Amino acid sequence: MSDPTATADQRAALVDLYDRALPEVYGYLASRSGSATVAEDLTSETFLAAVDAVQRGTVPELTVAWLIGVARHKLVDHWRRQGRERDLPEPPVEVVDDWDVRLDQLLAREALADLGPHHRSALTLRYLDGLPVREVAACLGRTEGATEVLLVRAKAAFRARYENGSER
Amino acid sequence: MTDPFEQLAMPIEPQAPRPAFARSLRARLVEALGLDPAAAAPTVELPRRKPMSATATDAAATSRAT
Repeated sequence: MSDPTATADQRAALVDLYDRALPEVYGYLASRSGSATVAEDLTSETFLAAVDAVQRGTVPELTVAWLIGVARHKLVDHWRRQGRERDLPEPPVEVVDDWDVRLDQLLAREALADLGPHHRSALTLRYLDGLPVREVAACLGRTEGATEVLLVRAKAAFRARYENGSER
Repeated sequence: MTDPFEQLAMPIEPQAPRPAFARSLRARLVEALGLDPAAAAPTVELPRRKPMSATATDAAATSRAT
């Protein structure tokens, strides 16, 4: 059911944005989650949240960047739901075809996928997405200090797995 | 070996989802937004059609009628 406060222009603009931005939103979520199923679920959640925001009139600007920000929050929520469960990720959606060149990158991704949800989400936001600590803290709902501590621990856990993986 | 944290940097690379998923989600959005599904249909570039030959058609129709 649509809210009359959302103008027809805004609603049509969101559908136009969907047509343009779907590959980027889905690509972002697929590459970070490593699962096509999770990426589809979170893509749906992202765009339905966008519908909600348009209907409430709380969208700052209907852009791809704004949608990626919404998708990022959905990804963090997903990892929160995972909690401390240590489930193995599904096979990556994208097959790496240049083995020699991408070996280090593959090891790094494997080490990241092997971490718990809290460490994985902190490192993803900080290093995959390149967000400053302040924004990582905002996404995770933590203080900057707590986020820095989390990042130190996450990096240590990551390094241990990465170095172990590269020695195999 | 390079810095592992540098190896993690990942730009956003667009990736097409399954067409059935894309169509289904689009339909959900259009419905949730209360838009007319026909009016909100994606614009499709149709192939240009060859002009029909009015003379030949007219001639055939005339011959059938007589």
